[in-house]
Amino acid sequence: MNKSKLYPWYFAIGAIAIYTVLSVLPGVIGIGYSFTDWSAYSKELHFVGFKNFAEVFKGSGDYLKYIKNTLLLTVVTTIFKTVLGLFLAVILSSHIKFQNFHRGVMYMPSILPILVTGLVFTSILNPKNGFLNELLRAIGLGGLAQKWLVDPQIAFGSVMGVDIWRGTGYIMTMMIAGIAAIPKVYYEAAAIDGANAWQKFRNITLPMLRQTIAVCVVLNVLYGLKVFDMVYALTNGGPGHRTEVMYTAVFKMFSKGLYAEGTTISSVMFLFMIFIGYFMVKILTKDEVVE
Amino acid sequence: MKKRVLSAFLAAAMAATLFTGCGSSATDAPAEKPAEEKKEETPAAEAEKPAEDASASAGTTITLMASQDWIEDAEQELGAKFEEETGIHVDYQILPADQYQDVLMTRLNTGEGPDIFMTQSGFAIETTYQVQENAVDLSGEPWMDSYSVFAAEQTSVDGVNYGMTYFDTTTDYYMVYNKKLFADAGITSVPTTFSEFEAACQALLDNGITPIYEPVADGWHQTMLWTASAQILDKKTPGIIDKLNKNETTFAENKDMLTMLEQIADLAQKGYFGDNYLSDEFANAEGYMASGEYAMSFLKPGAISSIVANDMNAGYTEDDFGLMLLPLLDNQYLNVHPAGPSKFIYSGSANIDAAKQYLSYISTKESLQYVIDNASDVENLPFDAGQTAEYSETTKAFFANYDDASSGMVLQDVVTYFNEQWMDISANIASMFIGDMTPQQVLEAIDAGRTQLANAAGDEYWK
Repeated sequence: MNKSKLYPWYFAIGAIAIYTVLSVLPGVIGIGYSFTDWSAYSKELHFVGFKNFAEVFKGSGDYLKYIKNTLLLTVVTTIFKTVLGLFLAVILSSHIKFQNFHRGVMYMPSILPILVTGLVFTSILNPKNGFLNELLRAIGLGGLAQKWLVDPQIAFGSVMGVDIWRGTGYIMTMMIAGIAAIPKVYYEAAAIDGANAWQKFRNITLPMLRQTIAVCVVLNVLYGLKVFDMVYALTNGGPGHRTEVMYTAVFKMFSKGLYAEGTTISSVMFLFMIFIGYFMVKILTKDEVVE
Repeated sequence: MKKRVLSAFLAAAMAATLFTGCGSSATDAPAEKPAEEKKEETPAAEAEKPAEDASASAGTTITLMASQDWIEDAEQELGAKFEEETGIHVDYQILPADQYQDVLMTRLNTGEGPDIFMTQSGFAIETTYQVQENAVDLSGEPWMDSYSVFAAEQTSVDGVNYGMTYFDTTTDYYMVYNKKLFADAGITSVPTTFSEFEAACQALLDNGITPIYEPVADGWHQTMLWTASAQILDKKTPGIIDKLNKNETTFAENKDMLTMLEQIADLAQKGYFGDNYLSDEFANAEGYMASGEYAMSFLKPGAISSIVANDMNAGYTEDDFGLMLLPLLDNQYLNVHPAGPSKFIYSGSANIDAAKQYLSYISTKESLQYVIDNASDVENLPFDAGQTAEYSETTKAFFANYDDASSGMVLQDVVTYFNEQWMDISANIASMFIGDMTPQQVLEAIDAGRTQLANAAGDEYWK
């Protein structure tokens, strides 16, 4: 590419300044505060070294459970949203009737505020008089009725299910855009060579969608790691602490006025997400051709 | 080169525009400054102003943030009358109980408090809610003359009153039971020991009745089963409360505490709370009691009249319900709980005058009587303004059994750094019900929480 066509770097100064002031600086200051005993109970601030970090990582704490839950939610929802999103995108990119209507319906959950979704599903999944269990009972499948959000064995699965329902449409839309950008000539050439639908998908769609899939995976992973509102609205971490994730724990720490502890968990997550995000982009786009 | 200079200039101009934006908001700041200055000055300055001097408040809106079930419909009706008379609109922001404390603390800690916030009175108003900074001094308000001294003790810090308890704290929560269902199950006398109580529960269950409606979903009720019986601890081991507050003993060391939690866990795990207790909500307690589906629930005495008035009433009258103590650890001491949901005016509020007017309005004799007459579960309010209390015969008969010697304060009113953890303790007790935590671990978590809060507060007994 002709280098003179590239904009000079200082055009980005404004954006970098905003990003630095609003995103990087608070993150760095937060890391600084996580080495102190900052709380709502005392006006004095003392350096306490790695005490807060030791508290987070010590085996007996609940945090390891919350980290495990967060990672489980991240992995499961990322896989399901990506696979389902891709599946729907492929179907809705073929010539089916009312294509845009179907796309709209599938995308709809993504535009609902998460708290609204959470509150609606709290009602739908109520074990006693919720819509889902009433429906199951009405069609003779009462045996399948569950205590969706309060049975310790399935509550977290229900939370992940609702999150997948909400997030799949968004991923589908990105995949549809990716599929639309694939030149039709590849498919025509493959058709001439006698390729079937699976072979076209396997050898054209998937490789050409690699970048889109990479972006979707990174977005899903980062969303999963910082999930808060969906869990908060559906179960608030319950029953007991069974569905607690890192950011519901952070929120509870802050609300208790234990700022330093809350900031410590945030800082750990901040560094972890930078690490994960950086390496995922590297790995997922390693064969990308640089023009 | 020229192009480069131009680009640099443009970039600089863009950045300058950006900071001009910031700058302009900085120049706007003076407009907000009076409010900030007010924040520092009002607590002292406002106390000297007469509350009525607020005609400028007409047309304003005050926000009142409360947890679910803390604001009676009758109070909201008073709010509407207040608006008619003063032009001040009251915006009631009612939040789900399990989220309330987190949201309130976050708002207070970020300086975004509502004009009036509500919280439980007691030790926590100083340690957690820091009302000395977050709330306005109400000691000079006209309603202080009729405000209960017991309630005032719980809303004051160092002799300064910051709050108004507007809740029926003249009674606490007791076990409301259905006499007919008890009789049908062959239970002839009110259980006074835990073994008798469990036998009664089993008899009810065998008779097809769920013994206890226990709303765990709200995230606060289950802890009360324990604390409202815990006055027996100080009777059995005099001085235990003092030792806890001086950090000379812990919850985890106390075998009686452990027994009490084991007994509550037992009730849940033997099915006496029914199948859906984890998703049962407090708001539905009266309905399910009225339907006869459940035989008992831990409620205020005033709830009996609400149960009878409920649409789901299966034909019961007030005489069909009685009151008894939950005999954890065979407790037969009456629980007394002068602390309760209380209103505080946020010190950073821009509408302190209007908020004070509201508190004055709802505490007049007429307003108090209106709430007592129209909120079926409120029998009295902690004021002596000449209002007529409406204690039912059942309530009167129940209280006649107890005197000062056979009464005791509930745990959260006497132990420090406990009420602050209420929602955590409730979540841990729910974990105990589902087997994720043992009763011993619940007690250890309380000790850990107390240590954390005491250290953060710089409490000398924890140094």
